[in-house]
This record gives sequence, structure tokens and C-alpha cells, in this order.
Amino acid sequence: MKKENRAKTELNDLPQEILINILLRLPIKSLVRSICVSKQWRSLIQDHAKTARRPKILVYKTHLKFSFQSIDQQCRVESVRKPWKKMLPLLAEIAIMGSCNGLLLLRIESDLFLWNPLKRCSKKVLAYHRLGDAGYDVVSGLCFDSLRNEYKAVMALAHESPDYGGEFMVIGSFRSKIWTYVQFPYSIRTVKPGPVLNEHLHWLASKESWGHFLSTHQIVSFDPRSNKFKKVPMPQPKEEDGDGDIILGLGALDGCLCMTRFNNPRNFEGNVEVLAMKEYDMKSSWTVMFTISNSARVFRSYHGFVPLCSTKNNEVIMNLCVGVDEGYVTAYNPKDNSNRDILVATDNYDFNAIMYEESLVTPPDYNWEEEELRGEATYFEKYRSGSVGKRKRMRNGFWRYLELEEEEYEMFGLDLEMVSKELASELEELELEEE
Amino acid sequence: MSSSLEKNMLILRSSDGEEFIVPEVVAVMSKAIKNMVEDECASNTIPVPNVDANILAMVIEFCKKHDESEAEAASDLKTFDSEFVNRGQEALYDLITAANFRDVKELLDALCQNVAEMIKGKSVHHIRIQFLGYQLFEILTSNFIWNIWCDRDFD
Repeated sequence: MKKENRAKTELNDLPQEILINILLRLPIKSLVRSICVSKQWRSLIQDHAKTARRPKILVYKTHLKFSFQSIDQQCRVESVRKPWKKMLPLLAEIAIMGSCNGLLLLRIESDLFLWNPLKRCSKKVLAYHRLGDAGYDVVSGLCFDSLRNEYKAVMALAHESPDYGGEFMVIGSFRSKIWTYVQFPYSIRTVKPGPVLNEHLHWLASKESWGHFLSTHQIVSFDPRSNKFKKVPMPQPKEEDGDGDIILGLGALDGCLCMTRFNNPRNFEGNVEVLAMKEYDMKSSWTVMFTISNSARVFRSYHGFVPLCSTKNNEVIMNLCVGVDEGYVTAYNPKDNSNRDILVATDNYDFNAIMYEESLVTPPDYNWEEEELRGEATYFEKYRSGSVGKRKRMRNGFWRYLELEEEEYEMFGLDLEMVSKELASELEELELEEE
Repeated sequence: MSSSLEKNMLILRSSDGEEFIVPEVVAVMSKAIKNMVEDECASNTIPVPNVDANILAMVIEFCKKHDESEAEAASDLKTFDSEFVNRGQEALYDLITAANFRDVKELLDALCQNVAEMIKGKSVHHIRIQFLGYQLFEILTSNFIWNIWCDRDFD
């Protein structure tokens, strides 16, 4: 009966491969909504959830005021909901440590979480207690081992005092929850983060011991299967007698490893070249994609000039760190050498951008709950999920949190005694009026 | 007839018997026809079942335009594409079926993109009524709360 009522041809009459072809062209938000349309659509979308990915950029500021924003391929800026539900301590150290397979690795104090911003779910996966000690310089990454179906976190840690371990590299396995030390043949202080490609994590590193930013760099890749670092073939250096280039940033554009370097490395002026390795692990396939020359900022951008993502109209979005406290996310158009700013931060020390893929992937379950039952999970997990009363009871056992809370009051310029006195006098006045 | 065939012309016959004379370069944009021509199993007349004259004419128009304008600006082609696929739903689905059956990749891409644009940003009810032929009463009588949940905004 129903069939007769309906129009002669409709979307469901088309072959399934066409339907999924159409659905996978939708923006992810529309795709999520389409799950509810019918059972057939739901199963189709869920079967193909892993292939539905849209490159996006997450821009985050973590200094005093946390904020997350995302930029899509049409350069639209949206704010992203924070992954925690209640307010965190004001001075909590928060960082995005890496992205892989549509998930982000988030660090809050010494805890690591996997986070999917679209699905708004975050799960605690690991903890590294040394991170709770202040003063570590951390560079990190997330990678996926498809053979063992396991994620791994890689961290390069450096501390000024040798009592805290000095400089070392650790790898955390999400399944076994064990951190292992690995050898790293380069100076750890010079490490700069890069993208994940071909299941390998890519980093920049330098031989020179004390991270001088004008030393030459080597791209290294980390293989999660063998837990080892190896060199990635580099292009012909600009200076023929030199031993390499000063690389400003490492990124991935359209599935190719990309890097930026000065066109004229002797006097650091003028142009910046963007190179891409068209075929992975092939030295001869490094090609110059385009040159950026018109920006006065380029001259000062030696702290970072990272290619992030290409847009729908063939622009390339770059993240520039100028000086120490200026950050720009800018779209460059290689055709006419023009540029436009998408986001600007001129007074923020912690302005960062990372490429990730918007997807329907859920963070895999690594059974942290077991550890929580044994009393090993730290305050955040409980703090986030507890009621006010429960949280008050929690405070006694967690001195770190209490301390931060006091600092918070100071930051807001509030004096607890003053507030309570004011309240008391108001109450007295009310009582007097009633009498 | 034979003179036209010497210039690499092919005859396509639609399901309702109408014949179209098309240059071979245009006809081989369809992978299915290309395979037939390469295997030399095609006689002068190639039957195109499942596709009626109306739709076949549209497909040929699209292929011709794409063949001619290879050297032209890509933006021109894009505006042509967007105008070409801007049709009623029924014609659109027929075109998709034809493009899929004949394996014309460019046309299929343009059409699917168009349908995706139509679906984009619509509510679940809207999609059900417009694309799946649901009737209004079916939606009203189905689980009301569930439908409200489905339609909540994801922002």
C-alpha cells in the first residue's frame, strides 16, 4: 500500500553504491543527521563511517583562557566545544599532543585523553605522572599501528634539571599502559612536531645540541610497529656546500609530506619555498610547489611556518608563529601570491594550530575504568563526573587541586573572607527590615 | 550513412528505438561503450537499453560539451555542469541511473554532487518527504519524540 503512494522514482531506488557516493559527499554534520532518516541509511553510513573524513584545522589557545576553534576547507571558523564538562583549574596545563585517524590526543596535567570534537566524546587513555611536575618541554605525537590495532603516544621530554631526567624520549602503548624509553639520535630540544602519513609519525630534528633555531634540520619518521626512528630522504639543499636546510615547518597537503624552507638561506630575507614529496620515501620526488614572497611577516616567521591544509579553492592554509607571541592562521593563494588572514592572535603565547580529520570515529575503549577501580586514576576523571558534594569530598585527598583553586580566587581578585562578610551584613539588614 | 561512419561516427539506439549519430570521441566518454568499441564487438549501431531517448539526448549533450570544452576555461565548464544538473528529481534519478549504467564518470560525479547539495542542511523530515517519498501522515504518526531528537541541531 505504502509503495503505491510514493513517487515513482526516489532516492532509495538507486543502487547502493550511488547512494553512498551521494552521502559521502555531504558535510559531516549533515551525514550525522542523515543517520536518523531510515534504517537503510543508518547501516550504509555506519558501514562507511571510517571513510567519511573531512580535513579540518583545530586552533587552540590554552593560556589562561581555553578556547578551541575549527577551520574547515571553506575557511569557515567555528568554535568547538571543550572536551570537559565542568570548569577546570585555571592554571591546568592543557595541550593538544597529536592527531591521527580523526582523533586528537589531549593532555590535561599528566593525563592523556583521546578526543573526537565532532562526537564530543573524550576518553582517558593514559597517564604519565612525570608530566605533573612543572617545567617539562614536551613535543609529542599520536600514531596508529594497524597491525596490532593499537594507538601509541610518543613524547620528547626535556627538563632543565638533570634530576628530572634531562632529555629523553618515551613511547606509551595505549593497550598495555606501559611507557618505554627509546633511543633518539638527535637533540631532543630541537624536535618540532609534524603530521602522520603512511602510519609514520614525522618530526623535525637537528644534530646541534642546544636547539638553536638556525641549525639545519633532518626529517625523521617514527614507525610504531618497530618503535624506531629513521631518516626520511631530504631534497637537495639550497646551499650546495651546506649539510642541509633550515626547515620552518612540516605538514601534509593532499596526502604528501610538505615542508617550508627559506629560498635564500644566507640572509634569511625574502621568499619561503613550499616543497612536497610527491611519492613517499623518494628523494627525487621532492618538488617545489610554490614560493611565498609578498609577506613582510615571512622574514620574522622562523619560529614556525607550518603548512596545514589545502582549501576548496586551491589555497593553502598556513600557521605562522611570528616572534614569540604573535600567531596567524593565513590562507595563501599560490596562483596570484596573495594571502588573507583567517585568525590572528597578537597577544597570546599559546596559540597553536593542528590538522585533524573530522570523522565519526569513536575513541576506542582501553579499559581505564579498571585502573580507576584500583584507585590509580587521577582527580580529573572523578572531578569531571562528580556532583558538587562529591567534589567537595574529593578535595581532601587532592592537594594539587585545592592549591589551584586558591590561586583561582586570587586571579579573579576575590577575597573569600570579604565575600562572606558582605553576605552576612546583607542578611542582617534583611532581618532588621522584617522586624 | 557509410560516409558518416568513416569519420568515426557511431549510432546509439535508445530503448524506445530512436537513433543518435555521435562522434566516437564523444561516445567513448562512456566506459561501457568504450569497452565495446575496443573489443570490436560493436557493430555500427550500439543499442543502449534501459535509457530512453529523452535521457540519452541529455547524456549526449553533456558528453559533447565536455569533449568540446576540454581546452576552454574550467569555470565555464563548471557553470555548464551546475546548470545541466539543475533539473527535477525524477529526471535527475533517471540521469544517474543512465550515467551509472553507461559508466560516465564526470556526469555521475556532477549529478551526485548536486543531489548531495540538495540534501545538505535539510532536516530529517524534509529528507524523508522530499527524497524518500514519505507521506506527511507517516511522519506524524511515527515516534514523535524520536523525531524531535533526530531534528535537534548539531551545533
